[in-house]
Amino acid sequence: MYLSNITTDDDSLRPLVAEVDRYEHLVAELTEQTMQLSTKIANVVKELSGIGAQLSVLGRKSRHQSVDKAGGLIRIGAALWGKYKQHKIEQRRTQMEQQLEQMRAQIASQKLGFAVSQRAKFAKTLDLFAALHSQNSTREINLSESPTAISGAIGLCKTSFLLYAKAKYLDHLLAFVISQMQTWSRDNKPTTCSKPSLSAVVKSLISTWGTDSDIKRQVALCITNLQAQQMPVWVLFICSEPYLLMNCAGVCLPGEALDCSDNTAVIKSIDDQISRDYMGEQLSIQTLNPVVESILANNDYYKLCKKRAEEYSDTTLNYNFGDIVLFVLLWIISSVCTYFSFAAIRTTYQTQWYLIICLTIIVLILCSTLYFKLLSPLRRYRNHMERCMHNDIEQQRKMNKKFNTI
Amino acid sequence: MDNYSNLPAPQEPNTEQVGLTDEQIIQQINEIGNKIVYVANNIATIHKEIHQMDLQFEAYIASLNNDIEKRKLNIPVVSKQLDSLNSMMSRILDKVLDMDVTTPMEMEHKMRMMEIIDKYLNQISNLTMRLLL
Repeated sequence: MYLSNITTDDDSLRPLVAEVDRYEHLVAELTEQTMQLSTKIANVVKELSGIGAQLSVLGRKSRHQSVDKAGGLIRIGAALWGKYKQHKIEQRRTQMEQQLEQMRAQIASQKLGFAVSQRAKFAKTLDLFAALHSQNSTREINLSESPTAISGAIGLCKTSFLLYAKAKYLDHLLAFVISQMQTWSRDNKPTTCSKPSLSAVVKSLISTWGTDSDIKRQVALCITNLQAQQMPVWVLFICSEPYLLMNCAGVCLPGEALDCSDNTAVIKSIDDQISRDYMGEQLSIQTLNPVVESILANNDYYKLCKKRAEEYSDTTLNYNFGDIVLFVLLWIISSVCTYFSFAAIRTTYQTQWYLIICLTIIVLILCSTLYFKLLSPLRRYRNHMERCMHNDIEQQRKMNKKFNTI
Repeated sequence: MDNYSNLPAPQEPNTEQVGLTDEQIIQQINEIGNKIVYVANNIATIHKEIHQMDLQFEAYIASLNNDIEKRKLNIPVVSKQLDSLNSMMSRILDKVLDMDVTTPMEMEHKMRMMEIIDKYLNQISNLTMRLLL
Protein backbone atom coordinates (compact mmCIF):
# COMPACT_ATOMS: atom_id res chain seq x y z
CA MET A 1 0.00 0.00 0.00
CA TYR A 2 1.35 3.38 -0.98
CA LEU A 3 0.90 6.69 0.80
CA SER A 4 -1.33 7.90 -2.02
CA ASN A 5 -4.04 5.60 -0.68
CA ILE A 6 -4.86 8.16 2.02
CA THR A 7 -8.05 10.08 1.32
CA THR A 8 -7.37 13.00 -0.98
CA ASP A 9 -7.66 16.57 0.27
CA ASP A 10 -10.52 17.64 -1.94
CA ASP A 11 -12.84 14.78 -1.03
CA SER A 12 -12.75 15.40 2.68
CA LEU A 13 -13.32 19.14 2.38
CA ARG A 14 -15.95 19.07 -0.33
CA PRO A 15 -19.03 19.08 1.97
CA LEU A 16 -17.83 22.07 3.97
CA VAL A 17 -16.90 24.03 0.87
CA ALA A 18 -20.24 23.02 -0.69
CA GLU A 19 -22.13 24.35 2.32
CA VAL A 20 -20.35 27.71 2.19
CA ASP A 21 -20.85 27.82 -1.60
CA ARG A 22 -24.55 26.97 -1.25
CA TYR A 23 -25.04 29.81 1.20
CA GLU A 24 -23.17 32.34 -0.89
CA HIS A 25 -24.97 31.17 -4.02
CA LEU A 26 -28.34 31.64 -2.34
CA VAL A 27 -27.50 35.18 -1.18
CA ALA A 28 -26.35 36.09 -4.71
CA GLU A 29 -29.47 34.48 -6.20
CA LEU A 30 -31.72 36.43 -3.82
CA THR A 31 -30.13 39.72 -4.82
CA GLU A 32 -30.39 38.81 -8.50
CA GLN A 33 -34.02 37.72 -8.20
CA THR A 34 -35.09 40.87 -6.33
CA MET A 35 -33.36 43.03 -8.92
CA GLN A 36 -35.16 41.22 -11.74
CA LEU A 37 -38.46 41.60 -9.93
CA SER A 38 -37.84 45.35 -9.45
CA THR A 39 -37.26 45.73 -13.18
CA LYS A 40 -40.41 43.75 -13.98
CA ILE A 41 -42.47 45.88 -11.57
CA ALA A 42 -41.10 49.06 -13.13
CA ASN A 43 -42.15 47.74 -16.56
CA VAL A 44 -45.66 46.97 -15.33
CA VAL A 45 -45.91 50.46 -13.84
CA LYS A 46 -44.85 51.86 -17.21
CA GLU A 47 -47.46 49.79 -19.01
CA LEU A 48 -50.19 50.80 -16.56
CA SER A 49 -49.23 54.47 -16.90
CA GLY A 50 -49.46 54.03 -20.66
CA ILE A 51 -52.97 52.56 -20.32
CA GLY A 52 -53.95 55.42 -18.00
CA ALA A 53 -52.64 57.98 -20.49
CA GLN A 54 -54.41 56.27 -23.35
CA LEU A 55 -57.68 56.26 -21.39
CA SER A 56 -57.27 59.95 -20.59
CA VAL A 57 -56.80 60.74 -24.28
CA LEU A 58 -59.76 58.60 -25.18
CA GLY A 59 -61.89 60.33 -22.54
CA ARG A 60 -60.93 63.76 -23.73
CA LYS A 61 -61.44 62.91 -27.38
CA SER A 62 -64.78 61.26 -26.82
CA ARG A 63 -65.73 64.02 -24.33
CA HIS A 64 -66.22 61.53 -21.48
CA GLN A 65 -64.78 63.19 -18.37
CA SER A 66 -65.21 60.05 -16.25
CA VAL A 67 -62.96 58.05 -18.62
CA ASP A 68 -60.39 60.84 -18.52
CA LYS A 69 -60.47 60.77 -14.71
CA ALA A 70 -60.25 56.98 -14.69
CA GLY A 71 -57.10 57.22 -16.82
CA GLY A 72 -55.60 59.67 -14.34
CA LEU A 73 -56.54 57.41 -11.46
CA ILE A 74 -54.94 54.40 -13.15
CA ARG A 75 -51.70 56.36 -13.54
CA ILE A 76 -51.68 57.38 -9.90
CA GLY A 77 -52.68 53.85 -8.83
CA ALA A 78 -49.92 52.29 -10.93
CA ALA A 79 -47.30 54.58 -9.37
CA LEU A 80 -48.56 53.78 -5.88
CA TRP A 81 -48.74 50.03 -6.61
CA GLY A 82 -45.19 50.11 -7.97
CA LYS A 83 -43.90 51.89 -4.90
CA TYR A 84 -45.71 49.49 -2.62
CA LYS A 85 -44.45 46.39 -4.43
CA GLN A 86 -40.88 47.66 -4.54
CA HIS A 87 -41.02 48.39 -0.86
CA LYS A 88 -42.47 44.96 -0.14
CA ILE A 89 -39.78 43.19 -2.15
CA GLU A 90 -37.01 45.16 -0.50
CA GLN A 91 -38.52 44.41 2.87
CA ARG A 92 -38.71 40.69 2.06
CA ARG A 93 -35.15 40.66 0.85
CA THR A 94 -33.90 42.30 4.04
CA GLN A 95 -36.00 39.91 6.06
CA MET A 96 -34.56 36.92 4.19
CA GLU A 97 -31.02 38.17 4.62
CA GLN A 98 -31.57 38.69 8.32
CA GLN A 99 -33.07 35.23 8.62
CA LEU A 100 -30.09 33.76 6.77
CA GLU A 101 -27.69 35.65 9.01
CA GLN A 102 -29.42 34.24 12.05
CA MET A 103 -29.28 30.71 10.69
CA ARG A 104 -25.67 31.13 9.75
CA ALA A 105 -24.81 32.42 13.22
CA GLN A 106 -26.62 29.44 14.76
CA ILE A 107 -24.76 26.95 12.53
CA ALA A 108 -21.47 28.71 13.17
CA SER A 109 -21.91 28.69 16.94
CA GLN A 110 -22.87 24.98 16.92
CA LYS A 111 -19.96 23.91 14.76
CA LEU A 112 -17.50 26.31 16.32
CA GLY A 113 -18.23 25.14 19.86
CA PHE A 114 -17.96 21.48 18.88
CA ALA A 115 -14.82 21.94 16.77
CA VAL A 116 -13.03 24.02 19.41
CA SER A 117 -13.75 21.50 22.18
CA GLN A 118 -12.79 18.51 20.00
CA ARG A 119 -9.56 20.17 18.90
CA ALA A 120 -8.63 20.93 22.50
CA LYS A 121 -9.34 17.32 23.55
CA PHE A 122 -7.46 15.96 20.57
CA ALA A 123 -4.33 18.05 21.27
CA LYS A 124 -2.99 15.61 23.88
CA THR A 125 -3.60 12.61 21.63
CA LEU A 126 -1.81 14.40 18.82
CA ASP A 127 1.27 14.73 21.05
CA LEU A 128 1.18 10.98 21.65
CA PHE A 129 1.05 10.37 17.90
CA ALA A 130 4.03 12.70 17.47
CA ALA A 131 5.95 10.75 20.10
CA LEU A 132 5.07 7.44 18.41
CA HIS A 133 6.17 8.77 15.03
CA SER A 134 9.45 9.99 16.47
CA GLN A 135 10.05 6.73 18.37
CA ASN A 136 9.49 4.50 15.35
CA SER A 137 11.25 6.55 12.72
CA THR A 138 14.48 7.65 14.34
CA ARG A 139 15.59 4.15 15.40
CA GLU A 140 18.91 3.04 13.90
CA ILE A 141 18.67 -0.20 11.94
CA ASN A 142 21.53 -2.62 11.67
CA LEU A 143 21.57 -3.84 8.09
CA SER A 144 22.97 -7.19 9.18
CA GLU A 145 19.74 -7.92 11.06
CA SER A 146 17.27 -10.43 9.64
CA PRO A 147 15.12 -9.25 6.70
CA THR A 148 11.99 -9.89 8.80
CA ALA A 149 13.26 -7.58 11.54
CA ILE A 150 14.19 -4.88 9.02
CA SER A 151 10.86 -5.03 7.17
CA GLY A 152 9.06 -5.09 10.55
CA ALA A 153 10.88 -1.91 11.60
CA ILE A 154 10.02 -0.23 8.30
CA GLY A 155 6.39 -1.35 8.71
CA LEU A 156 6.24 0.18 12.20
CA CYS A 157 7.80 3.38 10.90
CA LYS A 158 5.30 3.58 8.05
CA THR A 159 2.27 2.84 10.21
CA SER A 160 3.21 5.39 12.85
CA PHE A 161 3.96 7.91 10.08
CA LEU A 162 0.52 7.35 8.52
CA LEU A 163 -1.17 7.52 11.91
CA TYR A 164 0.50 10.81 12.72
CA ALA A 165 -0.27 12.16 9.24
CA LYS A 166 -3.95 11.25 9.60
CA ALA A 167 -4.12 12.71 13.10
CA LYS A 168 -2.40 15.91 12.02
CA TYR A 169 -4.65 16.21 8.99
CA LEU A 170 -7.71 15.85 11.25
CA ASP A 171 -6.28 18.59 13.45
CA HIS A 172 -5.80 20.83 10.38
CA LEU A 173 -9.34 20.11 9.24
CA LEU A 174 -10.66 21.11 12.66
CA ALA A 175 -8.58 24.29 12.54
CA PHE A 176 -9.97 25.02 9.08
CA VAL A 177 -13.58 24.46 10.22
CA ILE A 178 -12.96 26.72 13.23
CA SER A 179 -11.59 29.47 11.02
CA GLN A 180 -14.46 29.13 8.51
CA MET A 181 -17.06 29.25 11.26
CA GLN A 182 -15.36 32.22 12.90
CA THR A 183 -15.58 33.93 9.52
CA TRP A 184 -19.30 33.14 9.38
CA SER A 185 -19.94 34.44 12.84
CA ARG A 186 -17.93 37.61 12.23
CA ASP A 187 -19.82 38.77 9.15
CA ASN A 188 -17.69 37.43 6.32
CA LYS A 189 -14.30 38.62 7.50
CA PRO A 190 -11.66 36.93 5.33
CA THR A 191 -10.42 33.64 6.73
CA THR A 192 -6.79 33.45 7.86
CA CYS A 193 -6.47 29.67 7.92
CA SER A 194 -5.33 28.04 4.70
CA LYS A 195 -7.10 25.04 3.24
CA PRO A 196 -5.64 21.87 4.78
CA SER A 197 -3.53 19.76 2.50
CA LEU A 198 -2.44 16.19 3.08
CA SER A 199 0.73 16.59 1.04
CA ALA A 200 1.66 19.63 3.17
CA VAL A 201 1.13 17.50 6.29
CA VAL A 202 3.35 14.74 4.86
CA LYS A 203 6.05 17.29 4.02
CA SER A 204 5.91 18.76 7.52
CA LEU A 205 6.35 15.26 8.99
CA ILE A 206 9.29 14.60 6.69
CA SER A 207 10.90 17.84 7.86
CA THR A 208 11.06 16.42 11.39
CA TRP A 209 13.87 14.16 10.14
CA GLY A 210 16.07 16.99 8.94
CA THR A 211 16.42 19.66 6.33
CA ASP A 212 15.79 18.92 2.65
CA SER A 213 19.48 18.58 1.88
CA ASP A 214 20.05 16.33 4.92
CA ILE A 215 17.29 14.00 3.75
CA LYS A 216 18.61 13.89 0.18
CA ARG A 217 22.16 13.24 1.42
CA GLN A 218 21.03 10.43 3.75
CA VAL A 219 18.94 8.74 1.04
CA ALA A 220 21.80 9.04 -1.45
CA LEU A 221 24.16 7.54 1.09
CA CYS A 222 21.75 4.70 1.72
CA ILE A 223 21.52 3.89 -1.98
CA THR A 224 25.16 4.33 -2.90
CA ASN A 225 27.08 3.34 0.20
CA LEU A 226 27.77 -0.36 -0.06
CA GLN A 227 29.64 -0.52 3.24
CA ALA A 228 26.86 1.05 5.32
CA GLN A 229 26.03 -1.01 8.40
CA GLN A 230 23.71 1.29 10.36
CA MET A 231 20.86 3.25 8.88
CA PRO A 232 18.04 5.32 10.44
CA VAL A 233 14.80 3.52 9.72
CA TRP A 234 13.18 6.59 8.13
CA VAL A 235 15.77 6.49 5.33
CA LEU A 236 14.77 2.94 4.47
CA PHE A 237 11.13 3.97 4.73
CA ILE A 238 11.71 6.73 2.13
CA CYS A 239 13.40 4.16 -0.10
CA SER A 240 10.33 1.94 0.16
CA GLU A 241 7.82 4.64 -0.78
CA PRO A 242 7.60 5.93 -4.39
CA TYR A 243 5.80 9.13 -3.35
CA LEU A 244 8.47 9.99 -0.77
CA LEU A 245 11.37 9.02 -3.03
CA MET A 246 10.10 11.16 -5.86
CA ASN A 247 8.77 14.17 -3.96
CA CYS A 248 10.52 14.27 -0.62
CA ALA A 249 13.96 12.94 -1.42
CA GLY A 250 13.82 14.67 -4.79
CA VAL A 251 15.05 11.76 -6.87
CA CYS A 252 14.15 12.37 -10.49
CA LEU A 253 14.40 10.28 -13.62
CA PRO A 254 17.79 10.23 -15.36
CA GLY A 255 16.43 11.83 -18.52
CA GLU A 256 15.11 14.84 -16.65
CA ALA A 257 17.86 15.01 -14.09
CA LEU A 258 20.51 15.40 -16.74
CA ASP A 259 18.60 18.26 -18.23
CA CYS A 260 17.61 20.07 -15.06
CA SER A 261 20.01 21.97 -12.85
CA ASP A 262 18.66 20.45 -9.64
CA ASN A 263 20.54 17.17 -9.85
CA THR A 264 20.08 15.16 -6.71
CA ALA A 265 22.73 13.06 -5.08
CA VAL A 266 21.21 9.77 -6.21
CA ILE A 267 20.95 10.88 -9.76
CA LYS A 268 24.40 12.40 -9.54
CA SER A 269 25.76 8.87 -9.32
CA ILE A 270 24.15 8.06 -12.65
CA ASP A 271 25.48 11.35 -13.94
CA ASP A 272 28.96 10.41 -12.73
CA GLN A 273 28.63 7.13 -14.50
CA ILE A 274 28.11 8.97 -17.76
CA SER A 275 31.22 11.05 -17.04
CA ARG A 276 33.13 7.80 -16.50
CA ASP A 277 31.80 6.49 -19.77
CA TYR A 278 33.40 9.48 -21.47
CA MET A 279 36.69 8.24 -20.13
CA GLY A 280 36.03 4.82 -21.53
CA GLU A 281 35.20 3.07 -18.26
CA GLN A 282 32.33 0.65 -18.22
CA LEU A 283 30.56 0.46 -14.86
CA SER A 284 27.36 -1.28 -13.87
CA ILE A 285 24.41 1.00 -13.07
CA GLN A 286 24.59 1.49 -9.22
CA THR A 287 25.74 -1.46 -7.22
CA LEU A 288 23.57 -1.63 -4.13
CA ASN A 289 23.70 -2.98 -0.65
CA PRO A 290 21.62 -6.22 -0.86
CA VAL A 291 19.29 -5.11 1.97
CA VAL A 292 18.68 -1.71 0.37
CA GLU A 293 18.33 -3.35 -3.02
CA SER A 294 15.57 -5.65 -1.76
CA ILE A 295 13.74 -2.62 -0.34
CA LEU A 296 14.14 -0.62 -3.53
CA ALA A 297 13.05 -3.63 -5.60
CA ASN A 298 9.50 -3.05 -4.33
CA ASN A 299 9.53 0.64 -5.17
CA ASP A 300 7.90 1.21 -8.55
CA TYR A 301 9.36 4.68 -8.87
CA TYR A 302 12.92 3.49 -8.28
CA LYS A 303 12.37 0.62 -10.71
CA LEU A 304 11.35 3.18 -13.30
CA CYS A 305 14.46 5.26 -12.56
CA LYS A 306 16.65 2.20 -12.87
CA LYS A 307 15.00 1.15 -16.12
CA ARG A 308 15.71 4.57 -17.57
CA ALA A 309 19.32 4.40 -16.44
CA GLU A 310 19.70 0.93 -17.95
CA GLU A 311 18.09 2.13 -21.15
CA TYR A 312 20.82 4.70 -21.29
CA SER A 313 23.61 2.16 -20.94
CA ASP A 314 21.93 -0.14 -23.48
CA THR A 315 21.40 2.57 -26.04
CA THR A 316 22.81 1.32 -29.34
CA LEU A 317 25.20 3.45 -31.31
CA ASN A 318 23.39 3.21 -34.68
CA TYR A 319 26.30 4.08 -37.00
CA ASN A 320 25.19 5.39 -40.35
CA PHE A 321 26.78 6.14 -43.75
CA GLY A 322 27.75 9.64 -42.59
CA ASP A 323 29.86 8.14 -39.79
CA ILE A 324 31.78 5.92 -42.25
CA VAL A 325 32.39 8.87 -44.63
CA LEU A 326 33.59 10.99 -41.70
CA PHE A 327 35.89 8.23 -40.50
CA VAL A 328 37.40 7.59 -44.00
CA LEU A 329 37.87 11.34 -44.48
CA LEU A 330 39.66 11.58 -41.12
CA TRP A 331 41.91 8.68 -42.12
CA ILE A 332 42.74 10.14 -45.60
CA ILE A 333 43.56 13.58 -44.14
CA SER A 334 45.83 12.11 -41.47
CA SER A 335 47.54 9.80 -44.05
CA VAL A 336 48.19 12.64 -46.50
CA CYS A 337 49.59 14.78 -43.68
CA THR A 338 51.86 11.90 -42.62
CA TYR A 339 53.05 11.31 -46.23
CA PHE A 340 54.04 14.95 -46.73
CA SER A 341 55.66 15.16 -43.33
CA PHE A 342 57.88 12.15 -44.05
CA ALA A 343 58.51 13.27 -47.62
CA ALA A 344 60.22 16.28 -46.15
CA ILE A 345 62.57 14.05 -44.13
CA ARG A 346 65.64 12.90 -46.08
CA THR A 347 65.71 9.11 -45.97
CA THR A 348 65.94 6.40 -48.59
CA TYR A 349 62.84 5.92 -50.70
CA GLN A 350 62.20 2.42 -49.29
CA THR A 351 62.61 3.42 -45.62
CA GLN A 352 60.35 6.40 -46.25
CA TRP A 353 57.55 4.13 -47.51
CA TYR A 354 57.97 1.72 -44.55
CA LEU A 355 57.69 4.60 -42.13
CA ILE A 356 54.63 5.99 -43.93
CA ILE A 357 52.84 2.63 -43.86
CA CYS A 358 53.68 2.07 -40.15
CA LEU A 359 52.59 5.56 -39.14
CA THR A 360 49.41 5.39 -41.23
CA ILE A 361 48.46 2.23 -39.33
CA ILE A 362 49.22 3.97 -36.02
CA VAL A 363 47.11 6.98 -37.08
CA LEU A 364 44.32 4.61 -38.13
CA ILE A 365 44.36 2.95 -34.70
CA LEU A 366 44.44 6.34 -32.98
CA CYS A 367 41.53 7.60 -35.12
CA SER A 368 39.39 4.57 -34.43
CA THR A 369 40.17 4.81 -30.70
CA LEU A 370 39.27 8.47 -30.71
CA TYR A 371 36.12 7.90 -32.70
CA PHE A 372 34.73 4.70 -31.23
CA LYS A 373 35.98 4.95 -27.66
CA LEU A 374 35.85 8.65 -26.93
CA LEU A 375 32.98 9.80 -29.12
CA SER A 376 30.71 6.80 -28.77
CA PRO A 377 29.53 7.64 -25.22
CA LEU A 378 28.68 11.12 -26.46
CA ARG A 379 26.75 9.64 -29.35
CA ARG A 380 25.04 7.15 -27.08
CA TYR A 381 24.15 9.91 -24.65
CA ARG A 382 22.70 11.95 -27.50
CA ASN A 383 20.67 8.95 -28.74
CA HIS A 384 19.41 8.33 -25.22
CA MET A 385 18.41 11.94 -24.73
CA GLU A 386 16.58 11.96 -28.05
CA ARG A 387 14.67 8.89 -27.00
CA CYS A 388 13.96 10.33 -23.57
CA MET A 389 12.69 13.57 -25.03
CA HIS A 390 10.46 11.64 -27.40
CA ASN A 391 8.86 9.57 -24.62
CA ASP A 392 9.07 12.08 -21.81
CA ILE A 393 5.82 14.04 -22.03
CA GLU A 394 3.60 10.98 -21.99
CA GLN A 395 5.79 9.19 -19.43
CA GLN A 396 5.95 12.24 -17.18
CA ARG A 397 2.16 12.53 -17.25
CA LYS A 398 1.74 8.87 -16.33
CA MET A 399 4.43 9.09 -13.67
CA ASN A 400 2.90 12.17 -12.02
CA LYS A 401 -0.46 10.46 -11.95
CA LYS A 402 1.00 7.35 -10.40
CA PHE A 403 3.45 8.71 -7.85
CA ASN A 404 2.27 12.23 -7.20
CA THR A 405 -1.33 11.89 -6.14
CA ILE A 406 -1.41 12.29 -2.42
CA MET B 1 -35.08 51.06 -5.50
CA ASP B 2 -37.19 53.51 -7.44
CA ASN B 3 -36.80 52.11 -10.94
CA TYR B 4 -39.89 53.70 -12.40
CA SER B 5 -39.13 57.28 -11.23
CA ASN B 6 -36.98 57.78 -14.33
CA LEU B 7 -39.67 56.55 -16.69
CA PRO B 8 -40.74 58.96 -19.45
CA ALA B 9 -43.96 60.76 -18.70
CA PRO B 10 -46.91 59.36 -20.64
CA GLN B 11 -47.59 61.24 -23.84
CA GLU B 12 -50.09 64.04 -23.41
CA PRO B 13 -52.89 63.88 -25.92
CA ASN B 14 -53.23 66.56 -28.55
CA THR B 15 -56.11 68.62 -27.17
CA GLU B 16 -56.90 70.17 -30.51
CA GLN B 17 -57.62 66.79 -32.03
CA VAL B 18 -61.12 66.14 -30.68
CA GLY B 19 -63.95 63.96 -31.75
CA LEU B 20 -63.56 60.28 -32.66
CA THR B 21 -65.61 57.98 -34.77
CA ASP B 22 -67.21 54.94 -33.10
CA GLU B 23 -64.87 52.70 -35.00
CA GLN B 24 -61.83 54.55 -33.67
CA ILE B 25 -63.18 54.38 -30.13
CA ILE B 26 -63.77 50.61 -30.43
CA GLN B 27 -60.27 50.18 -31.83
CA GLN B 28 -58.74 52.13 -28.95
CA ILE B 29 -60.80 50.23 -26.38
CA ASN B 30 -59.66 46.99 -27.97
CA GLU B 31 -56.05 48.15 -27.79
CA ILE B 32 -56.44 49.12 -24.13
CA GLY B 33 -58.08 45.77 -23.42
CA ASN B 34 -55.13 43.93 -24.95
CA LYS B 35 -52.72 45.98 -22.91
CA ILE B 36 -54.67 45.26 -19.74
CA VAL B 37 -54.48 41.53 -20.45
CA TYR B 38 -50.73 41.83 -21.06
CA VAL B 39 -50.21 43.79 -17.83
CA ALA B 40 -52.39 41.35 -15.89
CA ASN B 41 -50.24 38.50 -17.16
CA ASN B 42 -47.11 40.34 -16.11
CA ILE B 43 -48.50 40.99 -12.65
CA ALA B 44 -49.41 37.33 -12.33
CA THR B 45 -45.87 36.36 -13.36
CA ILE B 46 -44.42 38.74 -10.77
CA HIS B 47 -46.59 37.25 -8.05
CA LYS B 48 -45.66 33.75 -9.17
CA GLU B 49 -41.96 34.59 -9.06
CA ILE B 50 -42.26 36.18 -5.63
CA HIS B 51 -44.03 33.07 -4.43
CA GLN B 52 -41.39 30.83 -6.03
CA MET B 53 -38.61 32.83 -4.38
CA ASP B 54 -40.37 32.52 -1.03
CA LEU B 55 -40.81 28.79 -1.45
CA GLN B 56 -37.20 28.25 -2.44
CA PHE B 57 -36.03 30.29 0.50
CA GLU B 58 -38.35 28.55 2.92
CA ALA B 59 -37.12 25.17 1.68
CA TYR B 60 -33.51 26.20 2.25
CA ILE B 61 -34.31 27.57 5.70
CA ALA B 62 -36.21 24.38 6.52
CA SER B 63 -33.22 22.25 5.51
CA LEU B 64 -30.92 24.46 7.60
CA ASN B 65 -33.31 24.22 10.53
CA ASN B 66 -33.39 20.48 10.12
CA ASP B 67 -29.58 20.36 10.13
CA ILE B 68 -29.43 22.56 13.21
CA GLU B 69 -31.97 20.44 15.06
CA LYS B 70 -30.20 17.23 14.06
CA ARG B 71 -26.88 18.63 15.17
CA LYS B 72 -28.39 19.81 18.45
CA LEU B 73 -29.43 16.24 19.17
CA ASN B 74 -26.28 14.63 17.80
CA ILE B 75 -23.59 16.82 19.34
CA PRO B 76 -23.94 15.57 22.95
CA VAL B 77 -24.17 11.92 21.84
CA VAL B 78 -21.27 12.17 19.38
CA SER B 79 -19.18 14.15 21.88
CA LYS B 80 -19.61 11.37 24.42
CA GLN B 81 -18.69 8.72 21.86
CA LEU B 82 -15.69 10.74 20.76
CA ASP B 83 -14.54 11.21 24.33
CA SER B 84 -14.67 7.50 25.04
CA LEU B 85 -12.95 6.64 21.73
CA ASN B 86 -10.31 9.26 22.39
CA SER B 87 -9.57 8.02 25.88
CA MET B 88 -9.39 4.38 24.74
CA MET B 89 -7.10 5.35 21.89
CA SER B 90 -4.88 7.38 24.22
CA ARG B 91 -4.58 4.42 26.60
CA ILE B 92 -3.52 2.10 23.78
CA LEU B 93 -1.14 4.78 22.49
CA ASP B 94 0.46 5.04 25.93
CA LYS B 95 0.91 1.27 26.01
CA VAL B 96 2.38 1.20 22.50
CA LEU B 97 4.79 3.97 23.40
CA ASP B 98 6.00 2.01 26.42
CA MET B 99 6.53 -1.19 24.42
CA ASP B 100 10.15 -2.11 23.87
CA VAL B 101 10.36 -4.17 20.71
CA THR B 102 13.33 -6.29 19.84
CA THR B 103 11.99 -9.54 18.43
CA PRO B 104 9.80 -9.97 15.31
CA MET B 105 7.02 -11.32 17.56
CA GLU B 106 7.02 -8.13 19.63
CA MET B 107 7.08 -6.08 16.47
CA GLU B 108 4.05 -7.92 15.16
CA HIS B 109 2.26 -7.34 18.45
CA LYS B 110 3.06 -3.64 18.33
CA MET B 111 1.89 -3.49 14.73
CA ARG B 112 -1.42 -5.08 15.66
CA MET B 113 -1.88 -2.54 18.46
CA MET B 114 -1.17 0.25 15.99
CA GLU B 115 -3.74 -1.18 13.60
CA ILE B 116 -6.30 -0.96 16.41
CA ILE B 117 -5.27 2.65 16.97
CA ASP B 118 -5.76 3.25 13.25
CA LYS B 119 -9.31 1.91 13.46
CA TYR B 120 -10.05 4.19 16.42
CA LEU B 121 -8.58 7.16 14.60
CA ASN B 122 -10.68 6.43 11.50
CA GLN B 123 -13.81 6.26 13.63
CA ILE B 124 -12.95 9.52 15.37
CA SER B 125 -12.25 11.24 12.02
CA ASN B 126 -15.47 9.97 10.46
CA LEU B 127 -17.64 10.91 13.41
CA THR B 128 -16.09 14.37 13.74
CA MET B 129 -16.28 15.18 10.06
CA ARG B 130 -19.79 13.80 9.63
CA LEU B 131 -20.96 16.22 12.27
CA LEU B 132 -18.96 19.18 11.05
CA LEU B 133 -19.11 18.97 7.29
